[in-house]
Amino acid sequence: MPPRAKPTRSAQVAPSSLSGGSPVPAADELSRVAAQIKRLLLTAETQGAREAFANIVRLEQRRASRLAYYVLRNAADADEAVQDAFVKVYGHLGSYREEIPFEIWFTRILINGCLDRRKARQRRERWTSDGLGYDREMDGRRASHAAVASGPTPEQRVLSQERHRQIGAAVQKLPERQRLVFLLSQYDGRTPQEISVLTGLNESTIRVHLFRALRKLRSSLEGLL
Amino acid sequence: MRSGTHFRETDLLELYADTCGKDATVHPHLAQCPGCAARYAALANALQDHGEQVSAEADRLFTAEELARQCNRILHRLHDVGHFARVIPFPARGATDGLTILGRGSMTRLVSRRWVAAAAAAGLMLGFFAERVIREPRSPGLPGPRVVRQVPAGVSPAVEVPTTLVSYEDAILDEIDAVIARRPIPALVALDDLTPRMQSLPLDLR
Repeated sequence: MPPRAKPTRSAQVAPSSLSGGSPVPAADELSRVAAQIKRLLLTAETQGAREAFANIVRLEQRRASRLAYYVLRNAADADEAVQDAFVKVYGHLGSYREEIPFEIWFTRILINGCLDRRKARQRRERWTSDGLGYDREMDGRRASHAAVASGPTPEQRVLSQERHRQIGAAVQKLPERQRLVFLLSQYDGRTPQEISVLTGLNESTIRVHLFRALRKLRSSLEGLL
Repeated sequence: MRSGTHFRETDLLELYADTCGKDATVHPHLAQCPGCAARYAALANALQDHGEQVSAEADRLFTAEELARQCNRILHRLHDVGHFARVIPFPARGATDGLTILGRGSMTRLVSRRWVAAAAAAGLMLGFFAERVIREPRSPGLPGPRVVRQVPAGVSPAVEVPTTLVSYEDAILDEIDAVIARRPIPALVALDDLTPRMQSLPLDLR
């Protein structure tokens, strides 16, 4: 069986996934809109700036929420991290440099916020629970969704769910950098070049981290991956 | 790179890591070797399945309604951006950096006036307490307040002698005189004889 075509990141952010029916700027226009908001802020037109920023929020929030959830594995934490990232970006739009793609700038801020939250949570959970920070609330919802999902046979679905659960747990146990690189490449569909820009790591280092992450996953999930 | 004619495990992972799972089928060996292509496809598909399930999991949590609520909360929080809490600063260098309500010059003047007023109030309080301490009556064990003996007008005394001390010495001397008058004590009589009398002193020494 040949490998399926991997969806690109731009395809994952489809206009249909956006909340609200108003036209929103395309992803490559984000930087232009951000520059426009910056000018509005500099001329103290805060109302116009907020309205324009709302479009950016609507365009980016689903992708941002997914990414935050990949890193944090907790819906409430991910929601707060996304909110904080948008508010922080808006507060610093006055110093936004247009030569940097807005999407990259925002994602970097979001990832840093998520990593900070994850570290803080791990410190707390060191004394309280298993430390994985796994969203237990999600288990119930996932089970109910699995029950109504259509497609393969029930046995295949159960096996797929089990494999997904085990891979997810193994990914959570990867070292911090390997995990981040794996998340960005496998879940967010980033290329090594994009991950390099987002994380500040060298491209070859990205490939090494991804290779090591895959090797660990393969050895710990023998037969499943 | 290869073991025999097939990819080793590390080769497969390296290829996947190099491409992040994209465009790996263009590798010449995979195009020619169905076995390696199948192994690579199994790995890529398993990872892709997992990625899709995680994304679906996130999308089930962040529904359209939830995203709309999130957007509203973000926009609500944007109203507070740039509005800083007003804090009265300590009047040091850079203390007025965070204040945007008043201009820097007027704020500095306002702070200066406040501190001048505070210093004046502190001086007043200090003076009041100092005055209280000076006027406070002494405790019974301590000698009473010093009272300067009145001197005749036009005469400036070289040394001020407290009245209480003088009267105390006079009382002792009077007592000694009385005792000597009643019953002369040889030792005291001898001492009395040695003491010059006021009348015998030359006039300029009095």
